[in-house]
Amino acid sequence: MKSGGDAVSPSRRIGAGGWGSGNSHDREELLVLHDVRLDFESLRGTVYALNGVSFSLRAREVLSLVGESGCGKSVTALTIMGLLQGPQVRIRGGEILFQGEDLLKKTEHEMVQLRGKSLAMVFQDPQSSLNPVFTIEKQMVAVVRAHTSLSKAAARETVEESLSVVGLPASRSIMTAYPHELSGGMRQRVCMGMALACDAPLLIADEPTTALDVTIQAQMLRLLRRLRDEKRVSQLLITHNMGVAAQASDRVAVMYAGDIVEVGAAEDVLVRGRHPYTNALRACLPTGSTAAHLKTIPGGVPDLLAPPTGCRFHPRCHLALDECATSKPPMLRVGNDHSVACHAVAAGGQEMRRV
Amino acid sequence: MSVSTYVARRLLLLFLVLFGIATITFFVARVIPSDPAATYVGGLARKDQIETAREKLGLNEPLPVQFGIYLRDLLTGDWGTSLVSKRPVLEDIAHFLPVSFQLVFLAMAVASVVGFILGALSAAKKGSVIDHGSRLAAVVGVSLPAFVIALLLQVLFCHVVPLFPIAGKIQVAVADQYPIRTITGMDLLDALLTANWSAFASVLYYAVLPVLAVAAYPAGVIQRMTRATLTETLELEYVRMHRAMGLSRSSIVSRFAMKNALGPVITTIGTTFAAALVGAFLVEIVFSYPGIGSYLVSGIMAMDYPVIVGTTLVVSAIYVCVNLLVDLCIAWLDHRVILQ
Ligand SMILES: Nc1ncnc2c1ncn2[C@@H]1O[C@H](COP(=O)(O)OP(=O)(O)OP(=O)(O)O)[C@@H](O)[C@H]1O
Ligand SMILES: [Mg+2]
Repeated sequence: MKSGGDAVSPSRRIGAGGWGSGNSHDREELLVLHDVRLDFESLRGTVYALNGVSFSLRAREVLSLVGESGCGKSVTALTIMGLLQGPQVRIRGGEILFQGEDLLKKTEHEMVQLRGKSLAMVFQDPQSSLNPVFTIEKQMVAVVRAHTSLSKAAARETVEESLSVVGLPASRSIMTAYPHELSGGMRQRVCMGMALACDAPLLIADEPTTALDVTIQAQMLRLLRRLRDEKRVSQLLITHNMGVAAQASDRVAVMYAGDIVEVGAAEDVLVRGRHPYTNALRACLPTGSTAAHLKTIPGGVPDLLAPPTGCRFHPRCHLALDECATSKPPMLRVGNDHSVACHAVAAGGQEMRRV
Repeated sequence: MSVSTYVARRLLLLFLVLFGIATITFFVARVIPSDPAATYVGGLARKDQIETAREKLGLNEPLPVQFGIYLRDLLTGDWGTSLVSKRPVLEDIAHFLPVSFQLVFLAMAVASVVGFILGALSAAKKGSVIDHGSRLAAVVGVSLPAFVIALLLQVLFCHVVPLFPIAGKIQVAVADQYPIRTITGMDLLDALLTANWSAFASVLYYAVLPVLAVAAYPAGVIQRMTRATLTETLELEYVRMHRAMGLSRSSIVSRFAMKNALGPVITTIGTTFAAALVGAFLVEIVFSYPGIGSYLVSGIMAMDYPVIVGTTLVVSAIYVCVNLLVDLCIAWLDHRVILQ
């Protein structure tokens, strides 16, 4: 994204990640993504997965990243962690500032030091993200010892502690268990405990509730909130569930086909959302008790091998203008902590008046 | 199922397999157009001598009776007498088998260590010079038959650069001066147990080339399997989790992924064991190494069917037992495996 010198709207056009700086009530920015672009060179062609992703996450804040399946949420998370490697991965630009330092410029060796210690992540699928042939203890102690100089016994104590933090108090029997002996919810907690064992200030949780049933989901959300309030862990929460985002987050970023289309305070985005896609997503939320109320967004998620030009949402957008097909809309500030990337909103179109 | 019932069931299966093999070999031996009695008495025997031998070997009885007697004898430990050596087959086997065992065990140990290390290096440094070199070595090991490798080694290290002895299992002078007291029949082990260091060194020295020749094939297969499984393992979600927790690639490989990849590798070790045993038969002949292979091949040449049947039974039993051990190892390594 270009920072705007050619502002066309009364609202100030801003560089991504720029909205917080200078605002005295804002906390320091822990993580700032600026125009991150990433492709996969696959056998079928180039997958344009991240198309200039920008957002920022402040200390002790929970930011939800929402969007349909396949829009690039997990890829964003893995890019932050530096876990996407291999010949097919092309990072084509941008920067990821963590505590002021660009993670994209770090060597693998430096990233190894940061992962688990400063940046923690739990994966989408708790089923397959624990090593099946080692006990929980063995896997967790290895993590603690990789980042500290603790003895085995002391590391074991740390592990027990972090397991009780995530609500697994009978940690003795859990530590000696193999992953397949635990339930899905317990495994999810173990992953969380492992990620937090070294007190990382940032936790990236990829769909932490999706694999769980509703009651366990609620427990998980309570746990995440407690981590923020008591342990002061900032979180990037990835979900495709707007309800989860509403319950769990301070701020929300909406992603569509590799673009961030709207970002801001949770209420602003989820209740007074401006982007047509955000509103379409909200309209899809079940409102009544019957399935008849379920709606879907017309059209399908675009093929990232040949994404639409301009605004990637324009083929599905009922507000699309001519320029939507030709130029990518810049991020536009529409509120104190609320930005939208939409030509129609910028033009003060229907959507704006309607809100 | 508990481990003991599992083992018991597998042993029962082993018994059935052996019964099948005994039956097949018995009837095949009867179909082959050769006269065991004539073999027994030798080429220049008279008609009546052959007739006496026929009587003595029970060859005049009807086939089912012969089969019954044959089974009874097998079960009571009377595996017949070699038509050539005139010694009880079981005694011969007990004498020759440990020699081959020693050869194959050494070869499998070398192959497992070398194959696993090469495979792990290949996977950890995929695409590097090390990887290419290690893969080339594996291809050579897998594609050349053991006896060809044996001949090549013989030409290279016995003729061109005479570093190693060309034949035998121990230097005659050493064997005379420091005879090995037989305990297990495996010279190396016996020499070790009796602290007979001169003999130990000599046996080891004589074993180098045969062991290498036998080890080449399993080492190649194990290298490939290790590389493939480890590569696959390193792409799995839980390895990514280890990485997300800040473990370095090398520590993930050495502390976690190796054990994840071990199951298929152990299976491979088990299956190549059989191939190594067969490979050893021919290698023994190239190096005049007096093991069960030499014994079996001379038995086949002479149509000495008690030898053929006895050796086949023993080798099959070994094969089944090795597979059982492999399965037990895998179950012990991975707690999700259910024995059934
Ligand atoms: N290694 C890869 N090679 C090629 N394409 C990839 C690769 N990894 C991801 N993609 C593509 O990138 C896009 C984004 O995938 P991603 O996993 O980030 O989606 P997501 O938003 O996390 O979806 P979900 O909610 O289903 O988890 C998808 O179109 C996917 O096909
Ligand atoms: Mg995902």
